[in-house]
Amino acid sequence: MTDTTLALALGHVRNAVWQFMGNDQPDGLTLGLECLDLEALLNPGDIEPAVVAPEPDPAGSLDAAQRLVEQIPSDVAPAAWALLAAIRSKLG
Amino acid sequence: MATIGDLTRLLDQQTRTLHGRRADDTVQSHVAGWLILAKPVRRTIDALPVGGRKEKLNASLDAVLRPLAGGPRKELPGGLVPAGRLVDVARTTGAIADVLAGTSSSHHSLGLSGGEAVRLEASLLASLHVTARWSRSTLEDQTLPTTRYSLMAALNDLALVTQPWAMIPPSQRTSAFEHLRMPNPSAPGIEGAVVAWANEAWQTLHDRYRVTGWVMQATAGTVALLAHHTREAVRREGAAHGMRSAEVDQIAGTLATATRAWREAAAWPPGLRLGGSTEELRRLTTGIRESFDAEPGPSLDAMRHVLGVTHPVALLQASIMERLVVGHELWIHGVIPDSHGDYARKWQRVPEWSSAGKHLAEAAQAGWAATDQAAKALTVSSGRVAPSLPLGWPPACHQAVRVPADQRAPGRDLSIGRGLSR
Repeated sequence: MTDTTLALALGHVRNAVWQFMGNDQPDGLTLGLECLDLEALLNPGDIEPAVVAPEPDPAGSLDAAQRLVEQIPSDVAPAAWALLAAIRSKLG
Repeated sequence: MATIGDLTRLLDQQTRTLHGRRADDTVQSHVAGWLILAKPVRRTIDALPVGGRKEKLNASLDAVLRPLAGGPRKELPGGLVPAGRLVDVARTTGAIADVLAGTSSSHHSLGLSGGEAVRLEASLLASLHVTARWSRSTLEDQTLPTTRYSLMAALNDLALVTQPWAMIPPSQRTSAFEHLRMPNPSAPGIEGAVVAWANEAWQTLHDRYRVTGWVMQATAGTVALLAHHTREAVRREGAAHGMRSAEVDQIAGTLATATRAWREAAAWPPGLRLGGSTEELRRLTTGIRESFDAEPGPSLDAMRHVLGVTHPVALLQASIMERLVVGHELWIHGVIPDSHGDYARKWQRVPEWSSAGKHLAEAAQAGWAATDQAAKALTVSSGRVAPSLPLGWPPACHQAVRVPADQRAPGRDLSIGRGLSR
């Protein structure tokens, strides 16, 4: 259950990376790199991420990831919470 | 970290102030001084990629320097202190040789060869010419005929061989090599962060068991970030560095292309991956972003240097990406049959018939081509090389106080400038 939830959260974060890197917004590059950082923090054990349908925008993907990791707080590194909050606050 | 430009300016200042004879300017101290100075000069000349058959082009210079570097047939007396001012020149020349050797892998890739190397050679040999003439002038009224005459003959030859170089005006000797400095992972700010990251990325990309999708994405994204900040620095400072407006536009345009292409190379579709984790590279990648946050708008000199450091990593990323795609080493999420004949969506190796990931490899190649073009253009641009350190650097230029061996306190000598007495 935990691995499945984490895999789904990872899927959303990977979607956010793809969306940030692929958009032409000036801050997309930095935010994409921060999401890559988040992906690495969430997945130190290298579990297989799920492939999930993309949300309409990166903010939606990160919201979905947030909802999922809140279900498994003990499996999430403290640094990942801080980084996720920082990225979401930059998105407004 | 001193650039070659800082060191050539220091060398120029050291040789311009050579005049008169001090108590330590004896024949034997000059023989010992040239013994120390001739070696780094030969090392520097050897390290310069001037092109052609160097051993023939530099034959006459080497014929004069070799006996000076070899020293006299008769052993010099123990405890002899080499002439201090020759030692200063030797130390600076040695530092130039070290920087050239430490950056040799990037000379060719950054287009540093031929004329640029000849200009640096001119700076060095013009200073050597002045040093030889001064050294010879201090010996004229001294005795010890045999040693004196052989050293004087060598110095006469050296002054003659180097004279044509000294006739080149200093303004014609400015070389693109002057931007170069030793990569220093301990340097503060963006330079140290990028050097440490580039070292780790280079090692990780060379180890096929540590190459992961994350590493490939993070490397491409970081190169894009560095290209973006270099472009900002060119736009902001290019004119102040003496670049022409068209040159600024051209380099900034190439860097924009590089940024776009590397971003595309970092945008892996969610259905494509290559597993594994690399904690050290993650930490160093974060360090680069934090450096930009801490000190926004780094200087053009700093960004030119870090782009040169990133250059080989960018090439390696593009070639590894091509290997992963051509070798079908990536994993794709798709429908595959299981052992019961049912179909399910799973991760699997990219099948032979698929070209998944090809667009990422093409983007990386385009990013590399633009990065290469921009790095070369920035290195040999008409912009002036701003001094990064004041004259008088480094502290090792101050003569160490020499204490006779029997009067020294036990334990290690912590003096910075003690090298030559050891």
